[in-house]
Amino acid sequence: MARTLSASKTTADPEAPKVRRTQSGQTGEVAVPTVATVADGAPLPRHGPSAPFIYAWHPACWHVMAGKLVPRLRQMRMQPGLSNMGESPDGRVVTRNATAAAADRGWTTIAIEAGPGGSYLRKHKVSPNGRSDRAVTRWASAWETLYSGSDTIQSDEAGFVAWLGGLIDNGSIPACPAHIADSLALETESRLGRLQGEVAKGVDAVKPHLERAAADLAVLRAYVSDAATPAAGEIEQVEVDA
Amino acid sequence: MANEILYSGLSDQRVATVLSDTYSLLLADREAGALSHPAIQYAGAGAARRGSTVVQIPQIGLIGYDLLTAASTEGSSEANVALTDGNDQVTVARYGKIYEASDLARLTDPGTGILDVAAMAMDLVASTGQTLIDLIAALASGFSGTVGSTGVDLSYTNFTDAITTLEINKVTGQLMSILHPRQFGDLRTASLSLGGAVQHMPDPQGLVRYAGSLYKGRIFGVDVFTSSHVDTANAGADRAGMMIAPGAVWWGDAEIPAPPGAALWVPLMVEGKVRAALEASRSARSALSAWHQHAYLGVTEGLDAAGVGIITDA
Repeated sequence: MARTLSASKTTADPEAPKVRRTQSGQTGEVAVPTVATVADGAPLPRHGPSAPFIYAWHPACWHVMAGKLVPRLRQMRMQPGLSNMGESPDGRVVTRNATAAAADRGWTTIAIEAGPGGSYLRKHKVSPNGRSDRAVTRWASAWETLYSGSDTIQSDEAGFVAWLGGLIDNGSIPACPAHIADSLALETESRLGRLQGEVAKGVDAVKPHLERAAADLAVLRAYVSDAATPAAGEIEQVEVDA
Repeated sequence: MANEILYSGLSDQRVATVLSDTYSLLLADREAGALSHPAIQYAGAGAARRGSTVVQIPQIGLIGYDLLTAASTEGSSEANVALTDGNDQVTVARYGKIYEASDLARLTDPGTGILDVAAMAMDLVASTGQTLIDLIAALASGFSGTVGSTGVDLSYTNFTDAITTLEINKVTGQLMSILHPRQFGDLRTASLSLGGAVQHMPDPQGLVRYAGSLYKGRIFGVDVFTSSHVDTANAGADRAGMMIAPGAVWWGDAEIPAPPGAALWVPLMVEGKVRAALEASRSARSALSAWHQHAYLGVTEGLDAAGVGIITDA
């Protein structure tokens, strides 16, 4: 543990009462002994190191989070050797090939600068064992809070969802296509039915899943009913010899 | 009585502490058995002797990918069928670690061997394996197919949904799942309330037992591993584990040629497949000796449909 040694001089308190001398002896002066104090400081959040990342969205990847239908983002870790991330001669991460490969699969990156306060990333000083002399850097999203001496991560889901909603509102991410929401609603409905069956059989452990599925289904149905009518396909005759 | 010889009076003859003959390893993931699973496929060696740090894995739509088409009319000329192809690429990058010790540090080594070649080799093998698993685990949020609900614990329904998704996607071969210990713990807890025929299966019953290793067993035919390297997702609310079939994940490495004049060069293999090398160097001027650990690693997602993200409460 990083220990800062500091010594303080013994000083008499100027406000202390004067030494009273009597013929029979002396009572001494008010003083504090000099000791080496050990200042450990607060332990660091207990986490391992991690690299920064880029968020990316996919037109087919959506989910319900904090009561809103939002894109399910991918985290593209900026680490050489991972998903075609490279390294420049001066040691910076080269993202070009990685983002191109992700784009081929339908993922569009979101500029880091689009986050709150100019970045959606936050850099934390952490340590796997909390000791400040073993500090490493951990990159996390702007909506994660880390705590001294703990491996707990508190997530501001409402803030994250509000940010995603803002990206949809300003056109950075197109709104969820109605057919995707409809498909999610059907899946959720099916899951809800299975969960209801399990609860009916007395499997109480799935009750949280049931409640969540019901809430998600309500969000999805509302979204689908508000969405525009999908475009119909073109009518064309198939030639057959009857 | 006087002049008794007391421990408290022998400050010149005794030392404050003595080192134990053994030591305690700080806790970390160390097993890399997941790398031997057939669902994680080796792309090949990049870099040395092959002209590039990028290994390309061709994808090809043959052996039953396209069905035969019915001939339109007798004697007519059939049109060609386009051959569907593509590729995945693994870019191999340099990874390493150096421990450097002074002569004073080495000469006071009491013999537990924490600074010797055997310990450094074991460290390199474990660290390389975990680095590769860390890279593989980072791919989970990149699969377009996912199961689970944000903020909700992993359930058997999620797990079987992942299997179904992969089956619908036409995967073959042995499936594997890499979960965060929290996710696996949620699955184990769910085992306690399983009903129907499943409760009598040995798979979930085996899960309730503490395994003492990162391989947790086979559930519904899927080999389940845990790793603390599984990333968070959705602004830290969740963990992103995965279930994969062969073809979903590719990794590559490189054979490092032994440098001429190296004082000590020890090539090593992790799980019999991942190459790494341990090198010793000496700075005589400063009386420092260093152990250099080298590995060249790369990981990439392969066939998107051969993997499913399992995104559930952290």
